[in-house]
Amino acid sequence: METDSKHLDRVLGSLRRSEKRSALFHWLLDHHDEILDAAGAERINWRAVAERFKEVGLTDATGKPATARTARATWYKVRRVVATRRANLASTRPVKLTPSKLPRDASPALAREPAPAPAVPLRDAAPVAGDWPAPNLPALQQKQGGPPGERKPTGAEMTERLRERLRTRNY
Amino acid sequence: MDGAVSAETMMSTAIGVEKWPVMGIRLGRGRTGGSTFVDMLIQRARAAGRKVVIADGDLRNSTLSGLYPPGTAGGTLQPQSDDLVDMKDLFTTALAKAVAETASLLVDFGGGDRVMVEYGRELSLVEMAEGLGLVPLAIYVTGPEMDDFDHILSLWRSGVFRPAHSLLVLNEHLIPNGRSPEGAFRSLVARPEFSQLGEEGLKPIIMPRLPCMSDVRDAGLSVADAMKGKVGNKGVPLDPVRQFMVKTWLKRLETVFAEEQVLEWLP
Repeated sequence: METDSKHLDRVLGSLRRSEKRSALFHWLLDHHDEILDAAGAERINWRAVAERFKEVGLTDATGKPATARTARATWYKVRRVVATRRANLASTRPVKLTPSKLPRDASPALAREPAPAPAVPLRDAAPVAGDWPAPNLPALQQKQGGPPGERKPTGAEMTERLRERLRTRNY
Repeated sequence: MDGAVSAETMMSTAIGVEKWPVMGIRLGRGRTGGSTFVDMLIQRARAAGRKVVIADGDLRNSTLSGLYPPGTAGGTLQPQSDDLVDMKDLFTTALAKAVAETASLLVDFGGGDRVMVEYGRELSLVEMAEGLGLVPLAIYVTGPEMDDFDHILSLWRSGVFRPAHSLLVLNEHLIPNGRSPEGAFRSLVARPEFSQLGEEGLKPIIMPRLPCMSDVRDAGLSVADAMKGKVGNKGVPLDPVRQFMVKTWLKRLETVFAEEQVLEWLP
């Protein structure tokens, strides 16, 4: 028999899986992080991807095989959905603990050092074309040598950084 | 079947060099340097072999139409007049062309933001771009004048065009002679609304000053052509020092884009 929590997960899962969304959307959503990992520093060739989607029967919202354009547009939507969900999750207030309802032997989990944030990729620092000037890579690498982070800077942080650049004329 | 196909397998042959087309709209008052920024984006994309459709709605100061004459290959699309109906028609036509050619679209209304306001009332520009397979990009350009910034603030707050990729370009070229960038922009950056805009997704970047910009414009050259030493309307190329200035300026801009991690946003 299904446990209550599994049942709840299933119900919540089906709620999240809106029928208005295509199979393609759900597949991309389910594999969001894997796709980003697979893409790595490269851009995605959506024509080739669409061919693969066609082979395995992933369809768009109208039930037709996905084209490069619909695949790309759907991926963009998925990225926004994931970003929004994660932003909402990050801003969710922590659950209030009620000590009297905790088991007698409960103890706080040991805090762990946060994993170091991945280095900001310099993938886009490559020149646009042979005769187009490339960014100043050594300066960029030096600047990115500090503690990088995936966290989006706040408005105040962006303003402060801009103010510093204007002051030092470092741009 | 969803779970049966791994993303790695699916994407393994599909990682290439394709880049999404962008629908970039320059907003803000006229004569704030927006056309220069858009010109640089056009040249940058074309240098990488990416197609760009250009729409120039600024009939009174048609910088882009001068650089990319209408009717020529890769030339701008222009409205019949600056009537609202014609301007909206220009936008629709240009967008359709970009979609048909799987090209990016760069639109410069040169302060004619009423078109965007009107269009935005009828359609959600962000959703429309996404639905058509283009990644929307807003380009708000300002100098240190408070009026320029207030105009942007008002546009941003109207909600007409607020995509996830939105740039607030502070144009150093508009700083009056003798003033430092810090001094010129101090009052603007100190306003609480400035940080608030950043919080809401409008990313501030600085467009450095190009000392010989007037020479480039007087010669009727795009920034890329000036850098490459092409002959302008005076029959001679820019001298090597000015060519070097343009190249350095473009390099500085590339560094700004890379530092601010907005390269992916550009056409």
